[in-house]
Amino acid sequence: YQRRVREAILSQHFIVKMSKGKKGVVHGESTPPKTVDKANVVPKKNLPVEEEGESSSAIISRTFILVLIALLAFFTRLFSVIRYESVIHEFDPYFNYRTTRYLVFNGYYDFHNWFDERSWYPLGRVTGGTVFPGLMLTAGFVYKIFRLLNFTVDIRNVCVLLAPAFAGKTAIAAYLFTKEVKDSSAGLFAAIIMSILPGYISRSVAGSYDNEGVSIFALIFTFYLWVKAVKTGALFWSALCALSYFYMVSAWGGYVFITNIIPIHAFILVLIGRYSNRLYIAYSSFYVLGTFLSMQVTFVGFQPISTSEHMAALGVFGFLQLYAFTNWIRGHLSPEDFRAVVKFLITLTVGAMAMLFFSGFLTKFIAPWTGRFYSLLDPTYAKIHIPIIASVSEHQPTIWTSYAFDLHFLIFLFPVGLYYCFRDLTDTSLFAIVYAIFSIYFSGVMVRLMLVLAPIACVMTAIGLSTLLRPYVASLRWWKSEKQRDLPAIKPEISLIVLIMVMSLGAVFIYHCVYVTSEAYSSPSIVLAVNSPHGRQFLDDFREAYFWLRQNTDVNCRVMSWWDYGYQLSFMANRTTLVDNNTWNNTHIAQVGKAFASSEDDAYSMMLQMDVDYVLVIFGGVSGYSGDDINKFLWMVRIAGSVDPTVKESTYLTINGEYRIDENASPAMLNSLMYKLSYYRFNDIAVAGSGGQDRVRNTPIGDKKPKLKHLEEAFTSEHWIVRIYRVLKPNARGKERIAKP
Amino acid sequence: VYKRQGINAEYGGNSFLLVSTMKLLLLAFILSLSYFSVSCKDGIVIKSANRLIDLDSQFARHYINFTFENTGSSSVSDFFLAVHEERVQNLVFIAIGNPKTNTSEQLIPVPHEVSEKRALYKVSLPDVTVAPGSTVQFEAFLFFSHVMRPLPAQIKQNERQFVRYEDHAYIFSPYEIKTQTTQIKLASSTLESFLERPPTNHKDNIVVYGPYNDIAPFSRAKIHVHFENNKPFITVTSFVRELEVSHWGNLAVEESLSFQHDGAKHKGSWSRWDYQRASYQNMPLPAVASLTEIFPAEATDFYYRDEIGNISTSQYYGTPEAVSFVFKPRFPLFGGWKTAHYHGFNLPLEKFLFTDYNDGSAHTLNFTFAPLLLDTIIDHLTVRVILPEGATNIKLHTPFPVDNEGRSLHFTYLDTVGRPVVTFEKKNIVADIKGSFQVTYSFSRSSLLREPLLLIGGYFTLLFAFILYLRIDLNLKAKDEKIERVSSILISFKEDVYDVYSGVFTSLEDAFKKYQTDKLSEKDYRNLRAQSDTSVNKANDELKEVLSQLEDVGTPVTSRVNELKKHLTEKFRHLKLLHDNELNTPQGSRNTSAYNKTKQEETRQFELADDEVERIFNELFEKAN
Repeated sequence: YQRRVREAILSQHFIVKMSKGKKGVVHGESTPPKTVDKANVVPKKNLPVEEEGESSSAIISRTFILVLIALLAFFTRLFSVIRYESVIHEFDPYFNYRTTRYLVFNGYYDFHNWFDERSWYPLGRVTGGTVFPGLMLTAGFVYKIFRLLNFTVDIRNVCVLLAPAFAGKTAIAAYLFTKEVKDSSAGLFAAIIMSILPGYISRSVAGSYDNEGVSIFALIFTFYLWVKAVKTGALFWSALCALSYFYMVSAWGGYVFITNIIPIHAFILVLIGRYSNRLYIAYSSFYVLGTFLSMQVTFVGFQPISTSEHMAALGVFGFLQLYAFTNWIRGHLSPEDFRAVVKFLITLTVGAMAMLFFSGFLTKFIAPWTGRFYSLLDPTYAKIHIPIIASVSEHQPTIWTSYAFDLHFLIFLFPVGLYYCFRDLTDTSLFAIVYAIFSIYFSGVMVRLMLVLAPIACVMTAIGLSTLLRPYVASLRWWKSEKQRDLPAIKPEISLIVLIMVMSLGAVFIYHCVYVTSEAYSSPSIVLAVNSPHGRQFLDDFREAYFWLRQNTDVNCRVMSWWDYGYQLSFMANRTTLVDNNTWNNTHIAQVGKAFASSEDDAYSMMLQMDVDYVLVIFGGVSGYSGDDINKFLWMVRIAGSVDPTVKESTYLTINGEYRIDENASPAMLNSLMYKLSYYRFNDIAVAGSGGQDRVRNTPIGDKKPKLKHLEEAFTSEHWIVRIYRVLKPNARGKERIAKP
Repeated sequence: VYKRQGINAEYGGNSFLLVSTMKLLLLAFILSLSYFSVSCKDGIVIKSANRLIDLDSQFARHYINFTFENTGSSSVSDFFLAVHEERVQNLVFIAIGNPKTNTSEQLIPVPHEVSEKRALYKVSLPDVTVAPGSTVQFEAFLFFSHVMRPLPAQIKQNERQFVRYEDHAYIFSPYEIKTQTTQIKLASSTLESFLERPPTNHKDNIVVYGPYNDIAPFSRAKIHVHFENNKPFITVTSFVRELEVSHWGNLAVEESLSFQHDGAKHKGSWSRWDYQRASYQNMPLPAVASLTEIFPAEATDFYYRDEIGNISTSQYYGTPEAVSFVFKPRFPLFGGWKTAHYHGFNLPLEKFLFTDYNDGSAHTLNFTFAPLLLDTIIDHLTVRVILPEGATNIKLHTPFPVDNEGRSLHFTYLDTVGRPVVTFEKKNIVADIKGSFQVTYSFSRSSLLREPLLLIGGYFTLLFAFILYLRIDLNLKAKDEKIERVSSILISFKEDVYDVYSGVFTSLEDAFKKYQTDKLSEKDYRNLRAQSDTSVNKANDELKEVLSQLEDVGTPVTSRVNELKKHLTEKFRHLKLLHDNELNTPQGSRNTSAYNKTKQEETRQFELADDEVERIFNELFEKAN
């Protein structure tokens, strides 16, 4: 066995060199097919003298370029810090930030055992056991290292800048991966495209402190180590691959993508007759180590052996064992006996496996696929069955314009790269192909998964571009040489024109990337910037209201809001919330949705049951902020209706099925708590002659003077975006007012 | 207790006793009783006293104009001011003004004597001593905070704030006062009620009590005024000021504040619309939308943040003397509401740090004691001065005694042993308190180089470690050498043997094809064939060499190369036989079974050998694709 491994390593030296040597053949068509020229086979360390000099300078310049690319990746992501401030963005990052602070200030074990009683009131949440801790541990680790060296950085700044720092690393990982698939010049292309690609920037700008920020790096790096392991068949690389996979598992639920892509790659390799001992070593050791490691993450636990998403990996592992075993007995038997044995074996194992899986499913030991997984396979699934998944904008199917927006000219060069991968098919390029095809599909299902497509789009484009340009660049060398040789097949002048055209395409791409980054992806969405006649104006209403709650309400009071604002409330306002962006309990969210959709009297009894002290709604009617609760209201109704069928969407629509808030609106709509809380005293502005018209819906409101019986306005932010109401406590006689549940 | 007393005796200007514990208070009381009885009553009579109580803000400012005569036999240099027991906690500071020179001297009050009913404060007269029989005029200024009680204690959003102020119609004094008046200036002319002590007059926002004649020492006559006061009632519960000295030329100031509105509490619902309308109409509201702090004129690089990020609403106005920093909290403060934030700026160090002319390493940092935060009272002020790493011989000088003085270490960028920190605390501070504190310390110029050297050293170490890493080969040599040896032998095998064979095969096949299509004569073909033989023979010699080398190394590859050799030779032989068969059989007689049989057999053998060669070669030099 050792001998085989060593031979595998030995032969590997030649593989790399020969595949490298291949480059030389491209413009040397006159070489006879079977006599490979001298440069083709070069042993690892005995490089000829002249090539050694070249490669060391090449190494230095390559390193230098990579460092520059990493820096570029870091700095392009700082738009939001410069435009706005060093602040955590959006929704989920606030949870990550809050948990990171908890980790840093309370220590790992407290973090691990954290039961958060301040969210999902009254249920609470086992936060320590239901997070992917990779992101927090990474930030905490960076913070501790800095503090150890007396660099008194703020934990907020570490969190804000973590994603850009990892983007630099992702660019380098993309280089390594592409180098394995193709060569190092394609790798450099991949790195530079990766560093500025909008599709990836969207999730990794400064302040976007989310799992994806670190896990895209982990994803690409794991893939790099995997192809390296397949190429070498070395335990070393597959062990590293398992470690990197472990990091990925600890950081993002998207690890399931790796768990499925790698076995699919291995399976296809076997199917098309590329099975080798290297593959066997790489996959078996990766699977065993990786699975055990991944089970150490509390949130993952026993899922790798008990859920359907992980069964492909297990199946391929078993299949590889069988295949290797059959290969082994083939050498010991005559063909007839062999066929009989194989027939027997296949029947036995297939039967046993089928029994095993079937009983697993029946006893519910193997959990069926989750809703999110189904919605991946069937894009229409969520819309029908799980409104809470469908209601999230990042779970919507991708529209084609967003491909152009996020990928730009990559959509043209992607197929070119794919073609070259097919043309020069190797084990590694096959992996790139598998990855590409699957990610194209997934990116079409969910906008969010565009992120998974982005890296392979870079790799494919880099391969396509690099292979396309090679002959042109080679012909340019003719000018540099002593011109004794004949003119190359492509005239240098034409090459120059082609290169200039490609470069200008690149320039347009860069312009597009910078534009998209600065305009579309660098807004923290906590602060809203508005261009007004007086210059840029900031609407800081969210923080104003959250900070008011933080400072001027009882520390243990409970705030009811739609789940979108749960994470922000629990960090910025530091108050107990009923529901948040974790969305683990659909019925609880439905209950809140039902309260908002009910009349004030009904809502009041529900709120009393849920111990609500304050109600928070987001309202854009004054400022024109379109992401407000009135626009989300139908989702609240749908989610409530998915649990309690008495809540019907149609009652909130007009007879014609329109969603309106003006005088034609349905009575249920006008009586709903959400309507009243949004438009309470809104019409007073109209009386004063400075509005009265809902600026988002562009229509006057239906019920001009909503009256509140059980709630009172507690605070409204400067531009009316956040409105907070106090739930009045029933007095001794008031108990009669409450309807019996 | 003694130790603390010692420290404060060193810094404290006017008093020798620090009252920080009740024990000490009692001790002072007992000790001073006898002293008081002889010195105080002795022959001082106040001829006239006019008091102005300014209630135009949340504070009560008492301006008392005394004219007194020394009727005793010895000259007098001290004077005693009395304060009612319920006001002792609220007295922030006292100032004694000399109307002739228009100067004043401030002191943070330390009671000379405290009893259940009153506290006495000993002040020095501006003219040092008063000879027997002479008359002196001077002004005393007493500053009280937290003395107005909102009534009603809770108001609705657009209601105005009324406060009640209680005092006595007579000036509280240990001396007899011949004639006196008290004027109370209110924040507005809306007066809800006031207690009359005839003669009492009220006009607009002024209430006048007196004149009263021949009032005995410590006389009392309770009065109150209840009036509208919408002035900001902001109390800063905690104010932490941090000064960080960098000898590279910067003094960084950061101030963290928690403050609240201590006026009438807001009750009921709160409407943004009502608030916006009230502010459009300029209605007087007790709400506080902004505060102003005065910074030194050189202040730059302002920031204004809280726990959740930047606060975007602040302005600053620069004048040659100072910068007014107007900051709006995130939300307007209504009664009972509170908020917290921090802000900071940079100052050029040379304006605040003075270096000894003779000793270049002795420095003095001079900075104002009280933050100039207008219209507020700071309940608790903490000042932290962070000195550069390596500063020694640190001393603190304050204009009046401070509550808690401490030393600690602060670690930040590039620190190894930590920066020394001087901390002190003080309660009840208002912007009116003048005076600066000084921190003196020694810091040599060469210590400035510590940080750059550390950086250079760190960078050097990093590069050195990298160099070491590149130079040291951590591989297990022997194993590597063997593999490399084998690979180099295999390379030479490929180049000198295999490629030669391949070349021969190609050229022979090419030539034979050309011969068959009459593009090449038989003679030429035969020549080529002879050449091929020689090169194959040469290659075989090389092969022997290669094999013996492989034998020396001792590797399983040897047998594979041997096999390959066998098949190469076979392939060459069968190719020649195949060609011979064609050459030797003329065109016409090719239908014989012998010819066909030979052709078939040789082709099969040739292809077999070819396959084997390819297989073994691929095994040895596994191709990329």
